[in-house]
Amino acid sequence: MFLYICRRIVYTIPIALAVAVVCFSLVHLAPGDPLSAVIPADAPAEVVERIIQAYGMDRPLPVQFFAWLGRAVQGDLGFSVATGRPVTQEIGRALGYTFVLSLAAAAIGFLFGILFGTLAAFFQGRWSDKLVTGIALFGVSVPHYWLGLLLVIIFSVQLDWLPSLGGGSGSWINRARYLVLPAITMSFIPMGIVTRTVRSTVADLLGSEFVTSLRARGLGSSRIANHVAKNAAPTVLAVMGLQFGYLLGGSILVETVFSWPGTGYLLNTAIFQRDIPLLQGIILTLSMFFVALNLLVDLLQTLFDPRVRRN
Amino acid sequence: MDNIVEVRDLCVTFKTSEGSVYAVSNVNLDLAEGKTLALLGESGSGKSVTMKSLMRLHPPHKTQITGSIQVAGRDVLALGNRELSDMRGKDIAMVFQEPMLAFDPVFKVGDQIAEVVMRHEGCSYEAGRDRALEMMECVHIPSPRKRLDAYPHEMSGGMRQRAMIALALACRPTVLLADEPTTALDATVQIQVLLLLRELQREFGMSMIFVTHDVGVAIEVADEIAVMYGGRIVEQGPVDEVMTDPWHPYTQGLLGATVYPNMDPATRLVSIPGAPPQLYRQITECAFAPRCPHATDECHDPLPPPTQTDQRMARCIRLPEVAGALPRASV
Repeated sequence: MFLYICRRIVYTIPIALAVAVVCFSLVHLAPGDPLSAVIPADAPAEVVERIIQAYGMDRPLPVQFFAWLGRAVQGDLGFSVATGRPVTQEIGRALGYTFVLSLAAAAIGFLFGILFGTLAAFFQGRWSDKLVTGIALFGVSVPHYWLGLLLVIIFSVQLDWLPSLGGGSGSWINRARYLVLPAITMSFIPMGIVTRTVRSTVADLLGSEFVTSLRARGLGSSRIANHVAKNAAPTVLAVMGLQFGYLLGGSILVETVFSWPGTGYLLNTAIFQRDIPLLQGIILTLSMFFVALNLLVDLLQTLFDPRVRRN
Repeated sequence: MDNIVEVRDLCVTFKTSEGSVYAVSNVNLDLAEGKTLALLGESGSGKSVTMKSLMRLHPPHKTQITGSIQVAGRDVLALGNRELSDMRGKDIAMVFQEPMLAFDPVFKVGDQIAEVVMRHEGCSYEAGRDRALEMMECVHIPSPRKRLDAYPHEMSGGMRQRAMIALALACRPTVLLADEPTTALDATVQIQVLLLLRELQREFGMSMIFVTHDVGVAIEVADEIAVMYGGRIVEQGPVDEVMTDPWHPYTQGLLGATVYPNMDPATRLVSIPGAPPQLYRQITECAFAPRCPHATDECHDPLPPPTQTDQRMARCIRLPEVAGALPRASV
């Protein structure tokens, strides 16, 4: 078990390196000069030269990459071109907001997803199943920025119950009020996907021979539910892990709709301002989140499913 | 002698999207205490459905069961859910065909056995584990203490089936249902598991219903035999009588198509032409008639009451003239 964990951790190193290469080259492959946005068009040539040197952009790309990587590993992602503040500081602040939003959205989405999915599986083919499956389908197919706008119109504009813009400040309660609408909006996709996963996994299990066998042993429904839950957990956990990953990645659209100062909003700003160090920093940070999250899900799976441990 | 299992006029119908499936029709079964009854038949003949009905394991809202089922003095079809699950695994237990599928893959085998003991005897986890160990020894699993902590996928096929038997017998059931317990196993392991079942049956004084499609296995384990075809019992009686003097042409066909102990080595095997019937309608005539070498026009009329003696029964309109006619290939 310990060896398995070590091996899984070692496996993530090449993945992380590959991710770093991709996210460095992605930005440099994009057309346009990264510094054109900050350098005035009529600046004298020597000033332009000095700025390019200051950002190290006169050196060959591989050298730039290793220099960047070397600093990134030490936690230095450079300075934002637009604000002049350290990239890590900008990202750190945004991450906090996105994390809170993701947590709230995941809590809502997973709770209802598991509830709805289990309900649908137990009442397969009946009206409650059809209703819940319909909700799940709506959750995954509705464009969530549109849903966000709709919620803003209803709850902020017409009813005036909740604020619609910004991250809020001051007391906990005030901040929470700002969180409600974006969290509900963000929860729809994970809710739909978790519902569908739970429904199909649990339905498969309920129809399987071993559940018949459990009933033949005289076990009651709570014991059977326990068996089914432990069997469904690896699949459902994997899906929830990935969904949480997507949430942590932040949603450019939803965060922009609500002006929620998270990573999605920051990424959006960085793209439009062609703020290369910030952009690279955000992409790298978010990718590393995914790598770490996948690792965590894998490890959790082995905890629940002894069959995974074998290989 | 008292019958521990009595089934009268059992009919099982499944409702599917394509209509009703008449899986089992008018089945009568008697099982005396300490005896073994073999249910013999090919796939889809209704033998497993009959077995699962004895424990009411079919999904209730898709299944219609009529008739009466008495197990150990209890009217199974009248039991409430609570009494039903009290009975399952305690008075009547089942060994499944494919132990890999019948064990929960993510729980340790020993814990699954302990769980059943805890459920029915209200004992502690430790006591349940002790019983599990005792049962593993009982079914001759090597190094049983170590195997308690094994997961089902860590065992070989034969060992898994032994563990399944240990699980089924953990609460000392009076009736054991074995649903093709040797079908998924290697030939050499099959014999071991058969012998084990027979040994344990004597040791525990259980009655057993043994479902199989293998005539040789039926001869090996059973006292009584019931041959099923198209959801009905076509022939029933003591196994040695039925095997030496089969009345029904289907039983004759089965015997003519299989190798079994003490057969004449010069005999050629003859297969039964055609395929088993579809059960999407209620078959009132002889279901075997389309494949039967002795069939005449009257065989397509509704079946008359079965031909019956004290010990034996067969459902064929052409009895007694077709009795004992084993199919022989011309050499």
